[in-house]
Amino acid sequence: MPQPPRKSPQRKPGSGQHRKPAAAPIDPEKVAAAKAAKRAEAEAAAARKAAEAERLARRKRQRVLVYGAIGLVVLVIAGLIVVKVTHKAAADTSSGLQAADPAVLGQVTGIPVSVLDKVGDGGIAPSFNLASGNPPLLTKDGLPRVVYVGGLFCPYCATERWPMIAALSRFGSFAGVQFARSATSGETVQNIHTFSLSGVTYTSTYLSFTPFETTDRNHKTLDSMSVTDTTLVNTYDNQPTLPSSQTSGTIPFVDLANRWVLSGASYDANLLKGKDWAQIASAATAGTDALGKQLDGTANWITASLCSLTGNKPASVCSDPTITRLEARLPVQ
Amino acid sequence: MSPRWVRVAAPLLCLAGIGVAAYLTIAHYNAKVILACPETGLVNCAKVTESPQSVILGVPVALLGLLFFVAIAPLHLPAAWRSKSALVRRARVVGAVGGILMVLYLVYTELFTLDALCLWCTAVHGITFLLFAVTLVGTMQTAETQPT
Repeated sequence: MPQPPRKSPQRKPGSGQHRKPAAAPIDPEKVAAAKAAKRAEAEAAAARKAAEAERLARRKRQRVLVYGAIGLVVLVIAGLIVVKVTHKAAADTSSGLQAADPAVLGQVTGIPVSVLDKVGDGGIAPSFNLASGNPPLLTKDGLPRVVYVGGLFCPYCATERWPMIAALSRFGSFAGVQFARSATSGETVQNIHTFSLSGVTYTSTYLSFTPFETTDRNHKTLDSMSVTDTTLVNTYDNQPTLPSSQTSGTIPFVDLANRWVLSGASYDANLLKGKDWAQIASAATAGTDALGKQLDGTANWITASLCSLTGNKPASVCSDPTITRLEARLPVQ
Repeated sequence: MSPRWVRVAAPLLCLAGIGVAAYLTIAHYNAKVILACPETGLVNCAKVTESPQSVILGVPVALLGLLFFVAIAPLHLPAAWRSKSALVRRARVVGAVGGILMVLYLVYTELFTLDALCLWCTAVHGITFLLFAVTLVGTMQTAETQPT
């Protein structure tokens, strides 16, 4: 069916409806400028976003670096403690004793006099402490008696035995000396190669020598002392014989016939660190390096004190000018 | 601007470090001053402070510690933390890193060479570690607050 033609609705007067004005012509330059401005704004926003992302990334890197460094330090310290606690090195609990090499022992007991003379006092001055109360000379079988008290664990005893053996060998001879090593743990200086004086025999026509190694390398009781000798040690390894700065009961303790007392090592124990018996004996025989000089020097000092005790016998030892000079420097009551 | 907590904590740590290191130094040079320290098993101050390792190139470690804190203290004053000088900032970080490396060496020596720990030395080590942490975090936070 044919439709009647539609009429456009009539505008009512006062309805506010107006006729649309004709569209202004589009300016292509303005459009392009607007688009460019929009693009620039978008690019700037993207750049700002990228810069912010970069800043955040840099901050993150810095934080990782800083907290990582702090954490690393904590980890290292914790690691050291864990290793210490869980992997405690197996302590060498062996006796540390072995048969002495006669050649090495021969070097120590026979240091050339020319070397000892050249070394002189060795640049050291051991503390010869005068026995308090001016007691009579300690003797045994009519001979001046030297008493040594030490322990096989003790590094300072290990240090002192070398010059003691060297000095005493000029007045007599040893039998039964063994190689020994001081303890490997619990001491500041460890595993010092030395000799054991436990059970040794000392033969001399000038001196009597009584050594006691009271404990072995693992702190177990070794040589027992008589009541008399215990009293002797308690009396002189103590104040007022020892200076107030020194701890009573210190070992090594050497009573030189109740005239002088040596307490502790007379020279630097660190010089023996890491050296075996042959190396130490060679140093003593040469008397040129610090170890050789101090070891030989201590031996000379002890020799001088022994000469004083024996009435300068034997003359072959005690008339040596080096020894007489040192003897004159020993303290007197 | 550096955070306020850093400007307070860092000088206090330096002060504490100087105090403890001075005590250890006095005890090293004066035999009459004995460190108040128990001797129980691993803890043994005398064993550490009287060991050969307590001296480096003839200088007691205790004195080195004191010199360290005295040297870095000016770098940790509030004014130094406010400073924008890159030299001051770098010197502070280098000092902190040097201090902590020394601490690691000393802790290793105590544990594995001497088999003993000194409580007062451990206190110095702890202070050095805290100063190291404060320095790094403080430097980082200061950088974050500065305009890029």
